[in-house]
Amino acid sequence: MLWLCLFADDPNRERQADSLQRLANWALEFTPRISLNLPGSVLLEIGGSLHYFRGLEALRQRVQKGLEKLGIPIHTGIAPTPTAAWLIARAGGDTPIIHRRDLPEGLAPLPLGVLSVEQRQAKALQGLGCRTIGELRRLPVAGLTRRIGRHVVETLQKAHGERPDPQPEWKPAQSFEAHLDFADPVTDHQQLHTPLGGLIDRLCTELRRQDAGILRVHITLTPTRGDARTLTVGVLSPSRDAEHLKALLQQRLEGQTSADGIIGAHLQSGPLRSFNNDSPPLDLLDALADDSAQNDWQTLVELLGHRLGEAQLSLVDAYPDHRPERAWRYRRPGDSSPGDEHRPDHPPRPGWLLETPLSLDTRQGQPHYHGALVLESPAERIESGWWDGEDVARDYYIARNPRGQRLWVYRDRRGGRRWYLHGLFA
Amino acid sequence: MQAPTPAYAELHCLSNFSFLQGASHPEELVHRAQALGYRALAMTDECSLAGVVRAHAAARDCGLQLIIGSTIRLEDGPEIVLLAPDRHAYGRLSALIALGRSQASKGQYHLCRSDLQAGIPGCLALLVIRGDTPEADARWLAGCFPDRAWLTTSIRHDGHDDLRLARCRHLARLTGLPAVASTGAVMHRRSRRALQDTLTAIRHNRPLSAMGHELASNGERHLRPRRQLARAYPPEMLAESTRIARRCSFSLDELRYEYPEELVPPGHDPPSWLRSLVESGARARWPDGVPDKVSRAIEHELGLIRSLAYEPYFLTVHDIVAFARRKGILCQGRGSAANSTVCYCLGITAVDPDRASLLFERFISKERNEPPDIDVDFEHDRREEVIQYVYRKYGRHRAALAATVICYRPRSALRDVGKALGLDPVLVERLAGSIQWWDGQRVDVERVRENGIDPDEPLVHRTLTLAAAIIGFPRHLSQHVGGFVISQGPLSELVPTENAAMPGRSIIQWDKDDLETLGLLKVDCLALGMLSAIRRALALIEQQHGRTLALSDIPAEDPAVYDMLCRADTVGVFQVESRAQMAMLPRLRPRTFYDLVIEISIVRPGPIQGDMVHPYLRRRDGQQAVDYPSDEVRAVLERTLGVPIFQEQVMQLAVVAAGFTPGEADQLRRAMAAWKKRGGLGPFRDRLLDGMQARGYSPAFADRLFQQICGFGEYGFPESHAASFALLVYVSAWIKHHYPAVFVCALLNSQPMGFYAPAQLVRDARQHGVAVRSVDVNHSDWDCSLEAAPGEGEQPALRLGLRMINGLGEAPAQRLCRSRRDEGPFRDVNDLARRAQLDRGALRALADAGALAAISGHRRQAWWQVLGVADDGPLLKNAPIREPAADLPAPEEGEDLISDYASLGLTLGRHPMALLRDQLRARGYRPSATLESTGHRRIARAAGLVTNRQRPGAAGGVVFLTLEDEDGSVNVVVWKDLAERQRRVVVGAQLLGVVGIWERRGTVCHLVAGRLEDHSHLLGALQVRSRDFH
Repeated sequence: MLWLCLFADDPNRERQADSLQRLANWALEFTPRISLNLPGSVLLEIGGSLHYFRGLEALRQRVQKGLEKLGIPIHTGIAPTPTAAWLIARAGGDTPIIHRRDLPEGLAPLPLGVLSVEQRQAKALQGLGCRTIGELRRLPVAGLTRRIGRHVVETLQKAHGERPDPQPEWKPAQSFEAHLDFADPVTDHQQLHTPLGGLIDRLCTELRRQDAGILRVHITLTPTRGDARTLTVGVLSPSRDAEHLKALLQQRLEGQTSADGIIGAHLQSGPLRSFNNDSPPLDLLDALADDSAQNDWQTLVELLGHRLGEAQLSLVDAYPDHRPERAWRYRRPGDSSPGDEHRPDHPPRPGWLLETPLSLDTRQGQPHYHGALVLESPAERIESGWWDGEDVARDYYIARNPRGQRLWVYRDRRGGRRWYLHGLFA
Repeated sequence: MQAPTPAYAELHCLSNFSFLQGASHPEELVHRAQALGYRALAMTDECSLAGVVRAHAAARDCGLQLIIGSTIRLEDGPEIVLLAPDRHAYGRLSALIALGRSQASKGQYHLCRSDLQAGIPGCLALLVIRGDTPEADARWLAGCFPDRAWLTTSIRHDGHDDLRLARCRHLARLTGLPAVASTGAVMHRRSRRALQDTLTAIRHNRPLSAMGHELASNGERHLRPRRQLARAYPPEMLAESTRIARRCSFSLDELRYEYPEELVPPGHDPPSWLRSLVESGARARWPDGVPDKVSRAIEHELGLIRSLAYEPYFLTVHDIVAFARRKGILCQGRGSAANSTVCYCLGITAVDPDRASLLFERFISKERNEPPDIDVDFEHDRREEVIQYVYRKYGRHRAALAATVICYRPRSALRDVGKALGLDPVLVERLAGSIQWWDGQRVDVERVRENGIDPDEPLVHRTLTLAAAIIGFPRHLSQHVGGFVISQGPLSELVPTENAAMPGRSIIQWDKDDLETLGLLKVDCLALGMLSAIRRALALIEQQHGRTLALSDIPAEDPAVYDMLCRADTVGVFQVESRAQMAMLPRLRPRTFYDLVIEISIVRPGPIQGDMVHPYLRRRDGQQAVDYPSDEVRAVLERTLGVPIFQEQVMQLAVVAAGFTPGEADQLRRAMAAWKKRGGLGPFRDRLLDGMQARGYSPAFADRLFQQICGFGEYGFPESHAASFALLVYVSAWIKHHYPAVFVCALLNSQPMGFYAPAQLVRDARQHGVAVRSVDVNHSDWDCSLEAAPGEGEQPALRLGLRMINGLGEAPAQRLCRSRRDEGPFRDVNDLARRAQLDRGALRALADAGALAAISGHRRQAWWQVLGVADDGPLLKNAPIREPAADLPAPEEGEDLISDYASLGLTLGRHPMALLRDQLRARGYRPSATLESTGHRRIARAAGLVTNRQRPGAAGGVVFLTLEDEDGSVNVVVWKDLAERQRRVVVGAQLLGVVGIWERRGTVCHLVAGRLEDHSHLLGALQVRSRDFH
């Protein structure tokens, strides 16, 4: 047996876990025996594959090239035991150890930092003046076990092949995929509904079996000629509602034309989500309280999203800022609202706000907009926003002009003290 | 058309003592109100009177009527403003605030309607009306405050002014309560809006961009011109404000302090009891009969005290000091009244007034009518006992500590403002980090640029501008180090009390300046490390040498002690151990006690900046004639050879030479203390110069005096304090000279204190021939101790104590000592662990310290054995496990040295520089001993550990560094421009190389740095901490 360890030293745990998954999937190219057991690493049993890849050096080069492509920074180690390979990789050096008899000599110079020890153990080792694995191995085993703990000593024994070093095997993650080939090319998209619906039924059956839901489904259609096209349907919370998914898919299919016929369809689910736990409790409560309204609204948003594309869709929210032009925001469907517990208690605001305030003419100091304006309210002074460089200092009034329009105007308290129209009341 | 300008009094106004609400200092509000022609201003901080004394002082100076009040937001009711029209109402208001504060955690308050149900007798109440204030609130207030309730509302320009005003007038009609105008100002000017927004964001701990509607929608909460108010309010609401102001006649000047009475036994009154205590004290001090001169002095002083009715104050201090003496806690009084024969007899001070040639009247006088000032220093590690005694004796309702107002400093200002502006936290830290310990009270733009941050970038610029504005803003109240206010009646009727952070402590809402402004007395119970050290030293002298001594028994005027002081051989000696003092000693050459009083006063920023040092030294050396422009001036300056050195002298000069009244001189002293921050010496300058000219002094003399006054600034040192300190200088020098082993032992056991770290103290002791023995579980006690030396008549040897060991608690160490005392020395580590019941943490600390060497061999062996002790071992009396020995090589010298420093902070082995000598030599650095033969103004190179850094305020940016190598110390002077250029090295280097010019003046040598090289990397894992002083 010969083990290759790929050690991804990434302080970002989430990114590291993600890298290890990618590495493991990729490593299936070289060997079916893969383990993610030792921290931060992917272990490959390559002894069985050496022949196929024509020797260690050739294999290492292929691995190296592959790693470069993946772009994940990796240290590698090769040794007859998994733990030794792991230690070598952690030490950052990649001189391979091929034979068991070379293990003591090969491991001796490694610094003790490669053992993953607790702070307390590290301090003890420092106190004993040990810096390398070789120095540590010189100490009596029983005494050392009592002092440093079983774990460190056993790690060393496993590395040296003095203790069994079994590594549980990693299996690729389950995700749902299904494929369909058509006997004759399909040119009319209406004819796709039934077979694709079948794929979705199979997906949902599987989801129910696993008590899971999905947020995304990718359907790839393969035409007789040209590139395959992928349609993605998504929902806002984990779903396994086949009818709903079918309806969404139908939306996506509408307007899709293809001169050439479709000869195959492939369904790939996104990551499976647990159906109950992943949905935020708020939604559940909302659903209980006001089932139909919430669902109708969500369905409407989803329908619009599928018809126009999600990127085209925005909601308008109130945003807490004293400056009227900043007192609202767009938000994406599905994002949570910033919320404003403290609803402002300010005088009425117009329903329509001009994108840019319109400078008004004045005659004898009186502002005009289709005639002279009569101010109908006391001044509302807004002075705010200095912190982002867009400080305003304005006195707002509700005004009426001879046409009977109710206007929201302000006078700038700075500079020329000019008048502006900022909004229109209905 | 111009509206008429009506009379107006602002009755609702918050200063920045409503922490993180108000955006103006009380003084700013007062001055603005005066400039706007207000009739009066009420300072109504939220449940606080912390800012009123400052407002009071400002109002008194500019002639504005100040009304004392407070804004209260009831937990279950409306916001109201309470005003105190008279002394009685003030006491009730103060007590209410204290109640509110006592019902909540530190910095908070909690008051409900029920707390006001019975009304606050005498107080006037204003209900703050909102658009939706229910009628019931108005009726409730009218019920609680019959004939003393008003409705008030403010103009906000938020579109709802009409609504609120209408509501206010409507409720007024319904309830018959009068309506009055008010602003609820939180700023003195509109221009504070950005600062006010920032404070709000800091209070909510959110960035400004996320504050939304929590921010004010505009900057209207400021003091407005009366003409604007006339446009906004009906005239009767404005007129009502001045009617209320007229009802308020209370001034803080009415507050009088009432001393506790219980100190006088039945049959006595305070004068007779004080006399009896003084007379019995005098008999004890002069057992062979009280000299006539002393009797006369006592009579004179008692007469003076009687005429000012200060007896209770002396009795209070005496009682505290007597408690300390009963408990064997060493203490020493200082301050204006402390240097009196009376205090000497009462045991408050050990300075014989005769010896110090001090005149009581110089410090306390009938004309000045300033309160006597006695600070009492106690041993720093036993002061808590004294504080607890005071609380026990007077109760928490009658005794509380003065407050210290914690204000924004550059670093905290940058942090809070940066966070509020949403600056990247990393950038905030970099900004804050660029403010090193020597920047003082401002944010320096150049420093910011130096750290690679563009100060002109808008966000950074905003941060810096606001941070600069917020510096000096009060942030919260903390407790003063030891200033007690003790009263006869409940203290909270004098000033609100509140909970301190420390449980069981309460503080008043005023700080020591406030107390001084109002002439209220406090007794300062301070902590002084040197007193702990001296008490320990006296005990060791008794134990080792069989000689019993008290402070006042130390033989006076010992020439050998002065010889030592003249050599600047003063490491560890109180006060005169600093670099600057050490440089001064050989020049001033003190030979008498009074020389010491001058020595410790002259090396201060005041005399240095006022250019008094050189004239004094020249006159002392006879190089300059001593002359006086008049006999009056001679009387003031004769004892310091015509050069003003003490703060008191400067004030007396203002009186005798410029015709100031004593009261004006006192104002001058305060102005001196504040002028650096706020300026304002101008008017005094004119008065001084005019007054002196009128009395025939030359303009040159007048101008010099003024310069000297400016130089004194806040750093002038009073003679009355210097005299008491000088005694401790003498005593500690005497002990150091006669008992060097005792001295170092006592200092080490009193750490942390003083200027030097244990490493330097031990090193100095060894240079004085004291043998120092390493810490050892079979010999060391918890404290450092003295062991008999092998030779007869030799100094005892110093045994380092277990207390020196980093990470070893006192309890396990004491178990260890007890077990050794009871059952003899320890055989091995298992024996030690079992008998002393030590856990592994304690054993490891001992192993790290090398304290196990005698029973286990070198450190690694010690570790092996410590690790081998079973975790449950100490508790079970199991037999030691037999096991093969481990093959562990001994650590190298350098590794031991690193362990020594890490665990003990010092090594008894070779100096780290000795180990690095070859590497240093290769870089051209010679051991410091070779400098002894280096001539004046020659180029010299030195390298060593930086053990001290000092940048005295008076030295104009010069930094003093002390380098230490295997031979000794080198004093390095870094001039300002070099210090600025190589700032990082100056502040951060642990191992510093200096190339410069060797300056030799007599025995005083300095290396004036030309180039600095940071060689800290050579130290590797060795961490050397410098003691940095400002």
